[in-house]
Amino acid sequence: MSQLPELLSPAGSLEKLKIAVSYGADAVYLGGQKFGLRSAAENFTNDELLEGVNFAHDKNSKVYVVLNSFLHDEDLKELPEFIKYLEKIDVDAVIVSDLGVVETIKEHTDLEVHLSTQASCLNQYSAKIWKDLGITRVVLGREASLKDAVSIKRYAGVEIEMFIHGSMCMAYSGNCVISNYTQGRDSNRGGCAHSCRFEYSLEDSEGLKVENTFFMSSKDLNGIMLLDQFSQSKIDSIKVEGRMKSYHYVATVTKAYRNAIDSLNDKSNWKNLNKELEKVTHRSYTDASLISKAGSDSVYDEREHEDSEYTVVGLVREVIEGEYLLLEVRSKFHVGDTLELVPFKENSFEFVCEFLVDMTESKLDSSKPGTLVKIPYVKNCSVWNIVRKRNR
Amino acid sequence: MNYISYFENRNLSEYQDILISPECLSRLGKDKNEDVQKMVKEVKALNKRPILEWDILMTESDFDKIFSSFVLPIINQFDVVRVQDTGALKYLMENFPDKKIQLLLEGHDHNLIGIKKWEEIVGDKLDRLVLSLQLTKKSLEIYCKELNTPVEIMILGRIPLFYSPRPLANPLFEKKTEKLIGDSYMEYLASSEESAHKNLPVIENMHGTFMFNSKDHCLLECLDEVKNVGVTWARVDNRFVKNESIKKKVNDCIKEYSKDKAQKIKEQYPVGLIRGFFSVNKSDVLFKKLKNYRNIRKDHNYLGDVLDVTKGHFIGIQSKAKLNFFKNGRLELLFSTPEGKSKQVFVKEVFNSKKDKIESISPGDIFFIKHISGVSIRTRVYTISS
Repeated sequence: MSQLPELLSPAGSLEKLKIAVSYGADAVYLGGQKFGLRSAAENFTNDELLEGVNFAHDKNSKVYVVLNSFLHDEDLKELPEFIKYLEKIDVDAVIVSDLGVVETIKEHTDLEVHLSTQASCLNQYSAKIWKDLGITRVVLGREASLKDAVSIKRYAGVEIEMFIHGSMCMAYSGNCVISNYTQGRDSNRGGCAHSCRFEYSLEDSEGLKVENTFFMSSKDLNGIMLLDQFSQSKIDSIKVEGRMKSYHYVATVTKAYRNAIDSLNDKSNWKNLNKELEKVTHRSYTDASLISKAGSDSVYDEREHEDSEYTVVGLVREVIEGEYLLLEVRSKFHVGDTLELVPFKENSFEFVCEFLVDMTESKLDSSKPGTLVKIPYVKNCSVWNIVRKRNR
Repeated sequence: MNYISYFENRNLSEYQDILISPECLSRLGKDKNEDVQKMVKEVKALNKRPILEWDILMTESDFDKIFSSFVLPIINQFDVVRVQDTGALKYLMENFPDKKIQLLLEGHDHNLIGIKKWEEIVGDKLDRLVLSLQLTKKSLEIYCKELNTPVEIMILGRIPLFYSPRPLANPLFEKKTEKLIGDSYMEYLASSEESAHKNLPVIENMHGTFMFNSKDHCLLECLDEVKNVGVTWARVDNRFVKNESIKKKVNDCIKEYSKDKAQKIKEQYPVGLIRGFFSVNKSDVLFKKLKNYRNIRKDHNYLGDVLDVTKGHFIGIQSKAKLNFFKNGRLELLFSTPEGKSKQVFVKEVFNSKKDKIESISPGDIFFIKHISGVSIRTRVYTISS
């Protein structure tokens, strides 16, 4: 018997939380200003956390807060106040890597604790030790296969969460400190400099050289076509990586997986959903170790680039029915361009931008990023919808 | 102070514990499984303790594969096993209750609460805690006082930076030479094309790919400080030093310590040496440069963000709060720009996108006010309490 997994999406900011929830995430994960692994992300202030939790709960979605840094003693001193606040605002769980953090949470709150992928929990014995420590869910290391997950769940008796989509560490998560020694930034406290994405040359002991290689850079994970196996394996939660990613990514990926989960009995549309995932900026896709161990074909031996089939031109901020959409412009577009609206549930559809008016009511030929413009009203449009344009 | 090194070191006279690293269980191990028994005997004959190094991380499938064949007889030969994988720890505790455990916390355990909990979990089976290279002497001093278990740190050796189970280097050279390398043990040097970091050692073997710092870790010069903070075991890992004379000098330095000897080793060592984070760890101070903290909203009296500015005309703001304008006949707002400038302004009129004058707003609404010079998009807007 299969089981519908929870769809867990990234929320790098309050707006991205609203987008993820609106596009169908069952749960979102996010970070406060401290204790997470994305120091450079916008992250949430305490009031934003409260607003985010209320927004998500109103729509029956859950909120998990990442506290997955490996903390030093001085960092831990500030933790109790924050976790008490998280408990007070009714956060659904926290995601933790460090045993010191687990112990601090248990001492000060009754928060539910999930084990982060950073802890590299890869086998049933490891899961058992963490379960004994009060962990209710394990986010498996990305090296674990679906077969591994079935066995771990059966023998350890914990909820299992697995990454299904997004960027991947090449190293066992939590086992890379390149940034610490080469950049002076602790990768396990949010300072990862992504040294694995750099270009290197390699030389063997006989002086033979391979130059200009990105040998430590991983392709991106894409498991949408394996979703039925996740379901049959009774994986409790499927996770999309990407708290640093764009609105477009959060909306498109969340929507594709939502639709795939909702059509588990009829996979006829899955190829189209997979095509949707091509529309966001990404590296080449791989199923990594979901079925068998990731090999050399999982290396993305290319320089990072921003090629993408579509560009987001704006975010709908206001809908005046029958009159216009108020769009916050993210990229330039022109009157007469064919744009594509991405509704929360229905299929995306194209429309022609027949007029473009700025807030002084002046007619424009083209839009300017960082402004608000009025564009034609289209049906089935809601605030937080994405409007995009196909790149030529 | 007691010392521990690897069987590969050969000259073992100065070491009390000897690590044996079977290739099936140890990340960088080259010891053949069939030779382990002989090595154990040899170490015991020298009246030293053989320690099994089992430091690989293992998926469920790896566990099954390893335990379906040759590992149990290997484990059985040792009284003490060193592990990092929490699964290996649990497995040993459940299946080998008589084995002593040395727990590797070298990766990322940097707080006393967590380390003490690990100590409690393993209980009386715990023989030693191997602590992180990133801990400062100040932290080590506190930990050594608070812990009930002997503490080990590495005082000489390669600094591990990266551990991946994937084959990353051998396939590139297979392609280049058209010779089969497979998962053979190979060593390379990696140099970044984008930064100054050159000659980072890379090893690939059956367990994956490993990268190390270009400079080795060395606390020989401050060995007195290491002793004084309470560390009782010091590890010397000179498996990658080919110069036998240096190895002898290291052993001699341990036997009869002097700073001069340590200094000479430093001068003659084949690669640069660093003390790492022993004196100070400031690996979080650069975080504040990773984003514009001026742009993080302050929660108190936060009203919203500026989304549009048209000079001479208006400013468009998205509200995040509920607000009744002109409750007191006027509205005073504070604008805090991404550049860090602040501007306080009285607002007389507020409009919606249809240009209708409005008197209240709800969270999510877009509203407009007359243009204010110096305000740019992404400016945070706050109400000022009257």
